[in-house]
Amino acid sequence: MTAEPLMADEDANPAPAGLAAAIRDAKAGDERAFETIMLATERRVALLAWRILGDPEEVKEAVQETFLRLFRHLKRYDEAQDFFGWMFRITVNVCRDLEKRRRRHRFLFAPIETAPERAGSMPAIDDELVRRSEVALLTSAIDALPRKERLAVILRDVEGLSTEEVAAILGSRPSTVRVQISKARVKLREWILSRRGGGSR
Amino acid sequence: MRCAAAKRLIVLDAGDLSPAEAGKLSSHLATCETCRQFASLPADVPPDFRAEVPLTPADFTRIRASVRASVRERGTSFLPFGLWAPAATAAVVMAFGWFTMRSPSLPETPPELPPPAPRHDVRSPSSPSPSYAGPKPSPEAKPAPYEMREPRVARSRGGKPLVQRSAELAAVPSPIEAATAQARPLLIEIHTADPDVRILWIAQQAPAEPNPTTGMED
Repeated sequence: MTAEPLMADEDANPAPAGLAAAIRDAKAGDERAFETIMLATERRVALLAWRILGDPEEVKEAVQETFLRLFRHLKRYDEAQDFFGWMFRITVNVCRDLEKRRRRHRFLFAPIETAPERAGSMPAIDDELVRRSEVALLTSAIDALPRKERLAVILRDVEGLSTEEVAAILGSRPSTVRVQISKARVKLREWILSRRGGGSR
Repeated sequence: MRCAAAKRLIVLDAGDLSPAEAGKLSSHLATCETCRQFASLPADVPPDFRAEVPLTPADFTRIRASVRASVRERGTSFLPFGLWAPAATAAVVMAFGWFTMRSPSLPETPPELPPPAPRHDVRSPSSPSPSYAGPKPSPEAKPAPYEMREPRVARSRGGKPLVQRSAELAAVPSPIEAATAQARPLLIEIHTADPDVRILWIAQQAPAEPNPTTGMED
């Protein structure tokens, strides 16, 4: 996953010949080149933010903030580095900030009787799960994972990154990420078992 | 090996297991039915987990426009940092150049002066009657406006002005002339490279002193 072979963007935005050239030009101050970078990467940024946040309005905010930070720090980007890894790191940090804000907001404004539910344990959302399809149920289960485990499993299993790449994005060691992924997967499988009535706890 | 530890190894990819871990796990699975059932479960995360971005192309267009606007609003330009100093210098030079071009031209030679009135020392007993003969000069009196030093015109070494106004330009009143003719203050604002630093220059002609005898402006 390097910057040179540009990702295949399936929507109407034309993919430029080389993202690396656009990055170089944008670093030199070319406004159009930065626009090219946004066009080429916005869907991937939005998709990752959507998987982490699960809220369309927050996704818009996350994409905008990600590109602002990208612009601000573009000069520090080392072109030998994987561009998408670097960009994903910014996206994950933006999503973390938004989640923190959301938690503060819910802590302050949630009704007293629902506030303790923020622990997010899977049995606590069982009533909600009953009404949804299997995938939607599993999505809720992923959302209920602790934040670090959720980020690790999304980047590893959904985005298809290697453990080392996930570790670089999250700023952790690969061994730590391995443990987080393992814990998350165990929880998800146990949840599936419990749904099938074959609880193994 | 306990079941909890075995489950944490079961969910890992084969490549992530060390040979020792793989060996312990296979011997545990041989004896534990629960863990075998656990290992037979399908993939953990569905492949279509939030596969579709819920944003429309119009949303992306708005986001890009918003990013551009935010960048400009914060005063951050796409100009590379190394070009800031030359750009700022050029802006200052152009501003002063423009200002010099627009400044009113003053006569090169002062007009002919009338002969000075004879001095009368009122303290001298032989002085004539104190009939009024013009304003009383004093040692600290400022010279008349036409005696003021020459206008500051940038000159080359040969003595020629570096910037000279053309006849057509001289006919057009400069903003300073227009403003001072109406005794209105003129605000000149010079933008620097730093958006927080601006140079404000307010120029206004001093209002004419009213005549103490008539109360009217001269």
